[in-house]
Amino acid sequence: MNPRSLHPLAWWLWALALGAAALRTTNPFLLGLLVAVAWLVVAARHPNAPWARSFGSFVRLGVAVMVVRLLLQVLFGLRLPGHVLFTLPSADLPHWAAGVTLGGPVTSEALVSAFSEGLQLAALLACVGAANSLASPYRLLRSMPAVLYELGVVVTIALSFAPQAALSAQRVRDARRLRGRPHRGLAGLRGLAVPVLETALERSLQLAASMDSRGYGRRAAVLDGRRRLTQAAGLIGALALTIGVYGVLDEAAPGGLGIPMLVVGLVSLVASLILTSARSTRTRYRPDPWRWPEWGTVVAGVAVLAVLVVAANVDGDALRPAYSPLTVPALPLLPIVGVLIAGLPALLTPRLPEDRL
Amino acid sequence: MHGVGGPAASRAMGSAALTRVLRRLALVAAPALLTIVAPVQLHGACAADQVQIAVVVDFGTGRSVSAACVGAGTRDSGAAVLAARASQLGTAPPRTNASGLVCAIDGYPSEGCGEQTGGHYAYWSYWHGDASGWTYSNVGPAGSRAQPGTVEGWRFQPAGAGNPSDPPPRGSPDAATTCRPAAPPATSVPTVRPASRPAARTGGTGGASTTAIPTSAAGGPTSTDVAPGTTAAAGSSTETAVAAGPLANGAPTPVAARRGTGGHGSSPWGLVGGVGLVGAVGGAGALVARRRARPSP
Repeated sequence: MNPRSLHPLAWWLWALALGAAALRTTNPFLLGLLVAVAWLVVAARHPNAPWARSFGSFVRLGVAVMVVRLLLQVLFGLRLPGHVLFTLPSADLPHWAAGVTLGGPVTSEALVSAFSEGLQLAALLACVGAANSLASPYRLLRSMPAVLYELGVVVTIALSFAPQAALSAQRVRDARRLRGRPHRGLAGLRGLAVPVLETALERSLQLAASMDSRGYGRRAAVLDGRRRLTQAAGLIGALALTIGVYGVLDEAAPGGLGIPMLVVGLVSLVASLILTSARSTRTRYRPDPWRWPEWGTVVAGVAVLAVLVVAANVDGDALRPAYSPLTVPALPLLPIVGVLIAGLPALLTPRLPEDRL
Repeated sequence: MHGVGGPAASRAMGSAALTRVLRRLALVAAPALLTIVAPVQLHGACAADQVQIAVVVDFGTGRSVSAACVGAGTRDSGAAVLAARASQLGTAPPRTNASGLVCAIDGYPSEGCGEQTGGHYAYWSYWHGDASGWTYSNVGPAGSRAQPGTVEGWRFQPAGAGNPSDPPPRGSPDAATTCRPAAPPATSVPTVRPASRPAARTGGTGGASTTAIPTSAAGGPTSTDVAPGTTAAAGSSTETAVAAGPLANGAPTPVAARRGTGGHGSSPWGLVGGVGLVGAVGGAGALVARRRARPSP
């Protein structure tokens, strides 16, 4: 295998499937394994770039979420009966705010439940962090459908605003410090605002000029009828997709709403995208290839999701263990094998060009 | 909603955990604000007087009904009273899921939690009974405060709608029927009606059988020296009959045995194995990361 970086869309699909799988279970062993597998793949295949270090910050965010979840459980959470660890003073809320208790006995059952639910969120965050670490945002932008390219540029510029502003503020502060002007506190802030604003305006003018000179927003001439058709297809697609998602998620919805509407919506949206792409005259320079490692990565991600969905129907109690009464959650074989499959991209994807192992 | 007696919790659970968390955040943020403006009654942590709470558990059409008088603290939630009932009767403790939804009472049903088929749910509905009848609780058992004058009612709905249109428990909604008021010792002798015995139940009558379980052989329900879970022999004499209730076709299983088989992998090896597996994969990741970080020769 020639060293190359994988298609960013493959990493995103893999990570999103992993995240969806994390939402299927509250078993802490499976969730921990999911995070460990994501970490393994990130460790093996993250490129040497500033954005590739985001996995760590996402994991730290996940830990913070877990701590908050535990605190909420201790302060206002469910009072699951069981082994009482300690008792907080409790307060009765008035009748119309019933249903929420403040304080009261904190049981180990309640804490373990909160821990596993927090771990689920942390695992989801870790999956998104893995995608951010593995897939280059610039390459992802490049491989977007032609219609979404302009939107993507706008989003990228908007996202880069905060770091750019911080950078220019730092620069202005350094300059003021070197000149012996106040650079701290309120006085420093006063001298900071105007130059930073000025830099931002200047930069945006420059950016607009450079985008204009590169033909941003240029469209090929399209017949009116065809334009209306694509717009209608896009609208119908979005509507059908919304109804379809509702039908799939709510099992009490009428039968015909779920999958059929989802399919109609997807087909309609894709048709609209293809039709609109004809309006764009942009060409692509050196497109990222989509070969079998990309397919393998996506299949590995989807396999985990599929295994967990099947396992939830076969033995749902193992995936959503009850902690009241308190027991050690099961180690279900099938889901564990499934989650381990998600680690295969660490071995099967091509090595990165910068690695010379 | 956390812990609502209906299956709304399990419905939201699978599909939209984020929504649930947001909703939970909203739920906890609102009362935090309310405490500032609302007249709030503060209670100390240790002032828990003993009261008697009537608990009616109806295992559904064709199955038995068990009524018990449970000793509980005045500050106990409905979930705590249900747990106290199980330990008083010696049955399997109630199984609840992480969001506080009651999955099983006395080990029934043995699997699943608010399972959905079509538009129906198999779940334990939660009711409050008083002199005017049963009302479907709009609050989960972990969030409601048990009142001595109110009966804690549970009925298993094999195919329930998940709303107040589901049938209420078949026991008496009057607390005085289950928990008799203080009376001379001569009249507080425990009574076990024949209908609650397994032999009568196998006939499949489906009628409501009531087992009155006093918390102490001699004293009335108002005696303060009775702690939940430490009931006198009179309570235990009836427990087998009640424990057998949900198991329509079998003899009652001892609690210890049921605990051993009920939860999978409750041995410490499960914990060791799970942590070891996660640690092994995580360690492999750390190894790979360190090897890649090493400057290439």
